[in-house]
Amino acid sequence: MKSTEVEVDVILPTAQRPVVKVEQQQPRVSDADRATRSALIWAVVWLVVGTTVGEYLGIKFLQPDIDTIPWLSFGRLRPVHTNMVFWGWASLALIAVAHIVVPQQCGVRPQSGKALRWITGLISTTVGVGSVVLALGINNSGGEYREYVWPVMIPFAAAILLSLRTLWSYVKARTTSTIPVTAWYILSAHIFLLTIVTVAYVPLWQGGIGETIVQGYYMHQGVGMWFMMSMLGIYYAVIPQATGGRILSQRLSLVAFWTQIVCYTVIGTHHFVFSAIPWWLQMTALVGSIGMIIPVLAGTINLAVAFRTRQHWHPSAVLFLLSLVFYVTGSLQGTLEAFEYANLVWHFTDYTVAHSHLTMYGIITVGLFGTIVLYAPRRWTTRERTILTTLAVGGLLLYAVPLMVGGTLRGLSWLEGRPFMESVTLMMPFWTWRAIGGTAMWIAHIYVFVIVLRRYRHA
Amino acid sequence: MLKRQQHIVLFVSVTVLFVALTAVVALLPAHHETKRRDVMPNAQLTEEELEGQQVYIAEGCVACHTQQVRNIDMDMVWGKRGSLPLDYTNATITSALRNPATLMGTERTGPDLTDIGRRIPSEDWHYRHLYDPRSVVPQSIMPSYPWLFTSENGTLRPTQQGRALVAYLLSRKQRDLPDGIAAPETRWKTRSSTSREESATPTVSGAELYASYCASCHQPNGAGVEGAFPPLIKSPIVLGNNIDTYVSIIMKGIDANPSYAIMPPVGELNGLTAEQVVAIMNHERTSWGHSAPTVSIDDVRRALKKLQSNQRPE
Ligand code: HEC
Ligand code: HEC
Repeated sequence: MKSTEVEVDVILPTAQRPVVKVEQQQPRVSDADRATRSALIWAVVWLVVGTTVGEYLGIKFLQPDIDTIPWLSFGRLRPVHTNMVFWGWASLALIAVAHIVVPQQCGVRPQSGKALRWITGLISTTVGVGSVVLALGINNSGGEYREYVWPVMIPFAAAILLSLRTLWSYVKARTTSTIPVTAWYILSAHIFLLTIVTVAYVPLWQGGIGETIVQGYYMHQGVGMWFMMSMLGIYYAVIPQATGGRILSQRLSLVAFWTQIVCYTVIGTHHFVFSAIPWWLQMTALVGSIGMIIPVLAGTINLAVAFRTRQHWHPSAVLFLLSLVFYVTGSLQGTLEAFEYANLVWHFTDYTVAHSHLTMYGIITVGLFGTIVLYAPRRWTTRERTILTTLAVGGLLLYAVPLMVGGTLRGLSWLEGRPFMESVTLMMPFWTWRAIGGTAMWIAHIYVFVIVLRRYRHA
Repeated sequence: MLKRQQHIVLFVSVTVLFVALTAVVALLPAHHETKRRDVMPNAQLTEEELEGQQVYIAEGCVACHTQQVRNIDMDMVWGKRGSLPLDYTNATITSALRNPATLMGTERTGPDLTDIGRRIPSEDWHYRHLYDPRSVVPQSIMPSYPWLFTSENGTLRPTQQGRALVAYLLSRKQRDLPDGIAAPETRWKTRSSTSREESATPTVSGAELYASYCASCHQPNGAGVEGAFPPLIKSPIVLGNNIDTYVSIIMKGIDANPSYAIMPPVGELNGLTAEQVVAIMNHERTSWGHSAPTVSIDDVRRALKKLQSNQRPE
């Protein structure tokens, strides 16, 4: 587990010094670096396992009788997939990267990787145990992404707390004159996640339709205030490094940051438009969904300028650019879906599945692949990077576009009041395309796994 | 000095703002709903139905099925009215491990199940469907659940879990609202809106009605399912002139032939009107190669009257 070149060891207080130049240096691999690498390797393991499950679920739409084993049945396996890629892959990888970029932006050098090792172990425990428990048919009543029962979530919450404490110590010891934007986002995201999980599991407000109000809040905040906030924080560090450009203005970052908190937090119930949830809450969510345009555009403009003012083009930059494009389109798509007529057509259909993959995969996973390429101990070749980008992003589009078309047709068929089974059979070709695109994504993950393992093992 | 403490100021403000917003949009309204005292009359689940709900949760049926009728026109195929908070007051804590479950769902890969106990009221149908969905709905993509059944001397029987699950499904009937509570206004009049507003009567297309109320058992092509649901093709009742019997079967169901399952009182459960019944009958008498003379509405009205006054025909 020893490598010759490590970029994570380099301090870039203002994030202007291009990483590519630093690569020739040969600093020693610190304990913190080793912990980061093993966290990333574990995250990629969960990605591979989690998407293997996802791929199998996709096949089940075409071959529902492919097996009749209880713990492999669709209803039990679906949350295994979603929770594994959410918590095991995306969360663990975001935390691992956070432990690179936060100290780096604060101008401090972490020495010990002990905390991150604990975090990796705790999160992996939750995901490993949680998946088995779900497969056995024990779950928390089916609210999406809240399927793990609370005892399973305890190690995860402990991991987030530990991560927050560690990152806090970096911010406290900062050598920079101000708190870097990266730290605003990432530490806030940790605070939000702890709040959200608490709200989601404390039973005081879960009775009757309260459960649904909390569910809407939880699933939206999980996505917007944890995954997206963390990713935005990472963007502010890695995009300037990968391009050598600068963000437009600190003031714009401020606008994006605070409006994100205000608008995003009230959106939750837009997952239950027209439901029995109080109408004023649905309306608040609609207003918030429109308001969301402000932080999205502000953040995008800010970061797009870093691309325009580029000095160089690290192989990872293209992945960040794609991730940013998915950020704008995916978020605006989300706003669109909250409108009543759009909701009429798309709600309950596979359009939503497409949307969640365009965002959780297009923004978060593609962005994380970028950081893996950027902070690799040995540089990825252009060919390697091209293979990854083509498979992952091409696969995603093959996955999502047909589902959007099919979902729209399905919604229209319901609107016209056609027999339900027609809307099932019409999806068949689109479900087939989804499986094809999914396969490409899955191969991309195996590829990342092989490369990461080989790179990080390299003596 | 202040500069060194900047991060505390920042993150404390962030936390306060977030928690305050959380309280307004989630905690307070959710807490308010939790504290409701009113409950839907006759909606309490029996012990067996509750057990069935646990099976429903464990198997993750909610991944593909919603249980919410939205207050929009297109959803009125799943119930008579939009769902209200009152419909979910049953969702309370049942175990130390789990949150309460409204099971509203977010995906309709399969149909909404709010009213399935009325739409398909037959135990036999549900057992067959759960054991092998494709035996009753050939194009279904729903998973099969053979582990909810055991084989006893060659015949399949549902396990206790299987029985409980079907009891739960049959309990899924949209309840009538108690007096004084109005159904939510139906919005987005989209589905067949013109014909509805003009005639102000429910749909009377025989083909559609047959698809909604009869096809799940007798199949869209009228061929039935062997050993469970008789074919209507060439059925002497469908083609014959005994209107009274025909109407009685539709309204009250029938259990005459031991080699078939029981037909539940489909017409009564769904409140079919004379116009709807005659449309279904005439659809059956003229489809699948049939060319029997059509039935008149007066004959059906007469037959319905007879049924009501409890003079069961024959
Ligand atoms: C992979 C998604 C999927 C899962 C999981 C699933 N179903 Fe279904 N279900 C469907 C589809 C699609 C249909 C429509 C075709 C049919 O009737 O089989 C359906 C139909 C039904 C129907 C008939 C509804 C009607 O109006 O015709 C019932 C009842 C039902 N499912 C119950 C269940 C139960 C109970 C479970 C859990 C044990 C379950 N389903 C799990 C997809 C699913
Ligand atoms: C839940 C399943 C189910 C549904 C829904 C259903 N049926 Fe039946 N039907 C049966 C079964 C089972 C029988 C045979 C009962 C017996 O004879 O024991 C039957 C028998 C009949 C018969 C007598 C056939 C013969 O030749 O003896 C007619 C006619 C009929 N059904 C018409 C209808 C119509 C019209 C509808 C729709 C309004 C309908 N059924 C809906 C299950 C169903």
